[in-house]
Amino acid sequence: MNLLLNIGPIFRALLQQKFSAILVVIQVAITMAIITNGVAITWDRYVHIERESGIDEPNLFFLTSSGFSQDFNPRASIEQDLALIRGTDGVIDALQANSFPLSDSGNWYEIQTSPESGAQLIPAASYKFDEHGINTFGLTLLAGENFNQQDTLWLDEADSQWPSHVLLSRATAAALFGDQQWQKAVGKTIYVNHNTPIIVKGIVEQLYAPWVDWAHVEQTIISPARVTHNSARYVIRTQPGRRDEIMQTLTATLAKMNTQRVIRKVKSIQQAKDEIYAADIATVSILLIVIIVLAFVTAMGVAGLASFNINKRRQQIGIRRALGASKRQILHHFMLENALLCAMGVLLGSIVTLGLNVFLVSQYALVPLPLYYLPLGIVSLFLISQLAVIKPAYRAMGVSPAMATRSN
Amino acid sequence: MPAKRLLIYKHKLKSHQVFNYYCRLALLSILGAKVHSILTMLTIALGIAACTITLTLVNSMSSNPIAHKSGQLFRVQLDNWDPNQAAISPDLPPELVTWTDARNVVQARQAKRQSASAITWGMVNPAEQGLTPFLALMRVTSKDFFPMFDVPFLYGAGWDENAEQNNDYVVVLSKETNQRVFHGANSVGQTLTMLGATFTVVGVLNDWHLSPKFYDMSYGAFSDPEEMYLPLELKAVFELPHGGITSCWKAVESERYDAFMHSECTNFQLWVELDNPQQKSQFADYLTQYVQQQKSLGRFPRPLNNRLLNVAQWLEYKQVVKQDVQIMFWLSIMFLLVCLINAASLLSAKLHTKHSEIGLRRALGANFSQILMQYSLEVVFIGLCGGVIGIILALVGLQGVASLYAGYGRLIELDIPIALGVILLAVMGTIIAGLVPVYTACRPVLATQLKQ
Repeated sequence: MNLLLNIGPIFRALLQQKFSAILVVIQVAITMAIITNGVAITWDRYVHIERESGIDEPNLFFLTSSGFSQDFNPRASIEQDLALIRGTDGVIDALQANSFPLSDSGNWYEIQTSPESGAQLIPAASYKFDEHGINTFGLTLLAGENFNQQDTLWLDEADSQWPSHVLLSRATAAALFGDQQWQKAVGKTIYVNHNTPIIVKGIVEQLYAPWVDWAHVEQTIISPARVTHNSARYVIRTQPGRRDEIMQTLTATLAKMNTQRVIRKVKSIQQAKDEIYAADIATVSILLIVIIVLAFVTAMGVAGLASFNINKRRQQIGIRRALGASKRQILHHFMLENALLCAMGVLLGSIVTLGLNVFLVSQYALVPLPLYYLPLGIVSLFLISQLAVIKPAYRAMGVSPAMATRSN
Repeated sequence: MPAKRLLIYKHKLKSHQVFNYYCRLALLSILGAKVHSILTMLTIALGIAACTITLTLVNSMSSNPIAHKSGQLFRVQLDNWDPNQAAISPDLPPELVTWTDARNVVQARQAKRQSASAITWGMVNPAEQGLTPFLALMRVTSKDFFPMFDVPFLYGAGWDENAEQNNDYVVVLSKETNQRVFHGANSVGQTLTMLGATFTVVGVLNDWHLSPKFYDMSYGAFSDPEEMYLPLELKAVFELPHGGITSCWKAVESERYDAFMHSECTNFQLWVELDNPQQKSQFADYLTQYVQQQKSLGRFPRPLNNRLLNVAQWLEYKQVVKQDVQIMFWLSIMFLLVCLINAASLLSAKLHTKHSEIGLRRALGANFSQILMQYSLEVVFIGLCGGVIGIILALVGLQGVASLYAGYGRLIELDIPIALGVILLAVMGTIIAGLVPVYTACRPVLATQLKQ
């Protein structure tokens, strides 16, 4: 309680050195604005990067086999390669795929629940996986069943025919049949390219489109088609921990097995993910460094000022001690002085924070700052500045009452 | 009380001697409080480093790689899209054009130069050179592509009109490809087996890395240029795959390759060079006429919606500078502000301890402006040192940042004017921030200062 009574004299003492007090207040305010907005953006990006694409990311890799000679037989080569890959020790499953999550290239089609022209068109990324798709990618089948071998349709490069059955991601089923009704999609006929009918055979829980920034990234459709390309891309799932080892040995084995082609673009899904999110990862790293350095700079500033104030007032402190103030009271005095400055700082800081956010939101496609970030910012600034002042304040505690008799 | 180091005027000094004297005073003062000075410099340095790094990022991403011709090169967009739905909401035309339109516009030769191009790929089999086959990224394009975009040649040149007319199997190699296949030798006139046929090399490019790669950003704004360049018509001859981005609003009628080529699918980047506004308006008129003629053939169901954007407008439209980088730029400006304020409060704290020294100097005859000059020098010196440390920090930081932006990291380089500008800004900021305490410190009444 006498702690609070001290506010009056402390405040009046601050008025004696307006310039440095104002500097600290402004510094705390701007620091709060940067830290609060920075943390919000960092968190937003972090959540973006950490989304679940639905596949077993750590244990997958892919490679491309490109045939180059005139008599290269793509279909035979694909069958032979897959048999070898699946038989390799440590490989869980593998398939040939046109595209896959995080590959950043692929096609999308519009699908609808009826062939009428007025029907709602649902965009969905198209994957061509056969019955090995679920096991290779580690997908969870929520309803219906997986393809069987008879469902698979072998296509030529330019052939755009659709197989009779498809699997949908849950988000696609929900977009077509409503959020609560997605299970009902199984067995229903849907239409692609306006009027090509296909039957929904099953629904998988989560499977992202190839492009992470696509607006409909959760909407995908799997058809059991295999395209015979001179260039075939294989996706391989290994037992946990064996990915890198198998990546090396398998590449070498495949290259040796058939010399009518080259093996290229060998990459793990993790690498592909890091490349795709490189800009976001950079943003997160840079902002984190800025926030930490800034907190440090501001703490140094606060500590420097406190330390200077204490040096200047050694005689005063001595007088107060001589008049009976305890060491604790001296400590409290400086902590309170700091808290007072900080309070003014965060008050101004709340306005600057919101102002900066309004500016950023108006200029860039940024989501407005959730309001709970404000108290978070206030608390962290208080913590930073109180921590910064502890050391100088402890030094003030050590000033002897005898200082009262000396001139500085 | 520590002994004050004072240098006293001995006799009347010349102005440069006075300046030297002030410099020595400033140095003494800086060295006298090493920790304090280092802290102040480091604070300024951090602010400068942060600003320089983000400014360099913004600058390297927003640079116009063909600034001298930016106003003469135009991206052509035609709206052949779905009558019920715009290609790009709300009502923008597609960014690419169809094979039909690409060829029609290029063959009409209504602009000074015109080029349509697309990314594709194919197997190269340099068996003659004793190398293993490899898959090369290629660009099919028109002969004007090279002069239009000021593409630098190391050997030879692009193909000519004749080669284009006769569908000659000619190829231009990038410097890297020439290195790989011909070990960097002048390969003009040599033959190369690729796509199952024999091609003749007509030119080899010199180093050519556009950032951003404005003419085709479908593989990323900072992706590498293609490894080989072939005449546009060869795309149909060899039925080369459709690289880059292909968008269709109508299902392609049949599975044959030429069905795609006659479809409404867009895949080609169309650029023209127009020297002046007059040429531009003439070309715009031609485009209007062209679309109307196509409408009479049953194409282009949407209202007339042609667009001609020059390079600067195109880069702006494509938002090449990542928003995150711009946001970081604003945050770093505020960061610099915090650092300057911090430096100012540190300086102000220091000057408070000098009141008695200032009083003494004034009592000995130094006037207000001399004192001001003396302490301003100290502030400038600290600001400059902070600037130099800041640039070193920025260099280190940029290395780190470049490794983070894997794809275009190598394009990020410290820009000297930017660095100097930021230092100047910081020194000015430090002076302004430092002058207030200097001013208040120099002003107070003599008697009280002497007494202390």
